[in-house]
Amino acid sequence: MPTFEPGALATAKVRITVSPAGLASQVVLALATMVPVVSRTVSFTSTGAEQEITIPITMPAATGQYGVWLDILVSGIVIRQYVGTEAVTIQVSLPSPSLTYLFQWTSPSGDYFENTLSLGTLLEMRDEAFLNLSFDEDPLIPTARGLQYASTAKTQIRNEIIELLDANGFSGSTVSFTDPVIACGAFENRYSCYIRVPGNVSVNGTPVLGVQEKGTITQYIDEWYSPSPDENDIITGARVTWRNDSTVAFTGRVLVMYNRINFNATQNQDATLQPGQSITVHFTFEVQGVSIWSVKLLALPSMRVLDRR
Amino acid sequence: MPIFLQGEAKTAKARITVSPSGLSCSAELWLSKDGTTKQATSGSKPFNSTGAPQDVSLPVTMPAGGFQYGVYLDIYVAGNLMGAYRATEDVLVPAVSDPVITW
Repeated sequence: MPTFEPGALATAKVRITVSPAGLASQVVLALATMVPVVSRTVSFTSTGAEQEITIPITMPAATGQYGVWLDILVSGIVIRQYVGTEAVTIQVSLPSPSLTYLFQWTSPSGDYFENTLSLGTLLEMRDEAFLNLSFDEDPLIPTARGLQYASTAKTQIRNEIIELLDANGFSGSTVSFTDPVIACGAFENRYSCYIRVPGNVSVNGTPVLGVQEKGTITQYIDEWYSPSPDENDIITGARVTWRNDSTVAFTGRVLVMYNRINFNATQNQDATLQPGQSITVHFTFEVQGVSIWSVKLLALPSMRVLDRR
Repeated sequence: MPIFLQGEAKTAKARITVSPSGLSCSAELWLSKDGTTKQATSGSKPFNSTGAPQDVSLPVTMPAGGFQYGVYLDIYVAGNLMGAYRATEDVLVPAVSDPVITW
């Protein structure tokens, strides 16, 4: 069913044959519920053969479903009235959350710069880019479920993330995950990361159905969580999931581990740092179960983490 | 030019004067694309002459759309064709296909 924004300018194309040729004709397109709400009249001369009449029309301001009515006139006389088989839906688009994604990294020369990605942007971090890892330094590692954490304190982590991730990579079975998770990380063998993302996660375009479960959020919080990692910790794998299981929109900032992520969204936000041959941070934003857009940020295998400066 | 819809029933009123009065007459109005073939006809409608102008109703159902039809009127007196006329104005019966709407 054709769907338009309220007040949008749309163009209907009407294929019709009016005969005989040479008749001064008009087609009136109306969108109506009980009575026409908007209409547009276009004149044409019949050809006796099928012809396409283009009818620009401004959609109604009110949301809802509208029948499509056509009147065909010849010399001002209605000779045919037609009701389209398909109604038109006027609805407001699902809210489009704004996203500012800041991926901070350094160039080989050590210069910092940030990329701000607009919606739908795919940024490939090239070889010369070095991922500047940072994570919450002070106890802003999640300690409870369902909470959001933010911090500006960061510590850079030494060692290359890719190798470490490979050494302790995530692979294996798919495990369902229902706990609302803010973030967690894996640091050497003391912590493991287990975060599950409900689909739409891919590495280099290949869907990742699941990751090996290293634990649960409860284990993480209740059993594994120990003093905050410091700069001597070695990241062996981490991923970030931010998820809001409520139906209430929120604006949040997650500042965790490897990235600084700022985004406004509504529901079911997932931000995952994917280990493996590359790092894929894949955000899939949904509103009422409908995927609105997603942003992928790919980090190539050669991406390295700088030592702390 | 009158425009009618296919299948539409219309009644033409022909003002006819036949003299003298008291004659057994009939009239037929028919529509034709070529002047020969009757695409629609009122059939023979009898009337008695009055010697004065009189209106004769001639109902016709409009034929297939997409054409312009000439309007013909035949007048018979005692079964003999006394007058054959073509109206000065044809009838247009347009045709419109089912529209297909895309956005």
